[in-house]
Amino acid sequence: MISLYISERTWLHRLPASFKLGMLVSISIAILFIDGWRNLLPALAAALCMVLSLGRPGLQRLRNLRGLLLLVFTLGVFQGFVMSWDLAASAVIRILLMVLLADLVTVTTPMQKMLAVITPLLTPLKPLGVAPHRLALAVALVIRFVPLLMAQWQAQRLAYRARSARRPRPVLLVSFLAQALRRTDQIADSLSARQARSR
Amino acid sequence: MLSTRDLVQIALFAALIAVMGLIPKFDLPFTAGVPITAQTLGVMLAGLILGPKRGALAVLLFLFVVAMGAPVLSGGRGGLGVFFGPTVGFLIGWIAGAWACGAIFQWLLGHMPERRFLSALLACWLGGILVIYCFGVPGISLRTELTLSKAMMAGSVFIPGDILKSLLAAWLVTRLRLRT
Repeated sequence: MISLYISERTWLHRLPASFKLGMLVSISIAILFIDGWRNLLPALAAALCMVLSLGRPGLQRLRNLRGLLLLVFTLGVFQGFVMSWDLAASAVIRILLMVLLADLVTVTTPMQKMLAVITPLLTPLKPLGVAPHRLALAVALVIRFVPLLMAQWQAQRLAYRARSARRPRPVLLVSFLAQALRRTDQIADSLSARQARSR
Repeated sequence: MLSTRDLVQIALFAALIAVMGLIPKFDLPFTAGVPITAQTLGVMLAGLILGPKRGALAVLLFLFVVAMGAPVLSGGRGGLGVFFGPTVGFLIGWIAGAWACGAIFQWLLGHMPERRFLSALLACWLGGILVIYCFGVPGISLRTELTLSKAMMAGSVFIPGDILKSLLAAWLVTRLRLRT
């Protein structure tokens, strides 16, 4: 499955994931105390510079964020009209800043490393029944299932089109879901069997 | 403690929600960048079919995968950035929404077992839509400093699509039980 990770090695890649996440959290709290869009602009400029320092993948990433930028600007314009332009400006800049910084962390940190950093943080949840290693298994299953499900959906669509010229789509969804659920039983059985063997 | 079967089903529904994000989204011309997505359909289905606890866990797992960098939020979005955007409230709301959808569905089924479609539909409206908006709208307000009422105006653009999805979800669940 495609991930958002940019594979070129940059200076941001070399920073440890825990440091990047820690900085992200600290900055997100710090900017709550900064008021006025003029004061926030330098931070936004710095964030943009960091994105551009990634080179062409950085520009590519900015283009991918277009949808979100459009949404933020639309909300900003709405806010400018119904409240005040100053407030709108500072709100827009805050969101842009945090989204850019968070996105930087995402594209410079492989999923494995993120998982490695987050999993130990979840050990306090063990008494509630959340075992960290099961989380890693769950994530792997999700990543595995996504292309499987898409392939299954395509296969069903093709099979249906081969048999009939009509396309009452909702009916397909029912058999799709039913088949997917049956698959989970098979997979669960084989997983349990494997766990039992390895014990 | 979750059984292996539970884990696999939760992962399946998380993947289902992801798949609904990979299908190209509709962009209604007047919504200016607001995605009309099929993903809330997946959230409702997770609650209805898996039940409140496992449904919520499926959504949580999905959001975790998004946070780690998978571009499976509708429109190819993903990564930590989306949790700092204006729609973060809706994402958190999905967890509660799946839970409420499942809980209300089971409660209603207990009281009127023959009215499956109606129970599912009401569960989707109350749990799948209302609860999600109770998180989403304050989320918009907090992130953008819009007042709650203005945020409600902004958020209401999603509602027609969600009503359609709730009809589809309820219908699917009714047909599904007749089959399996």
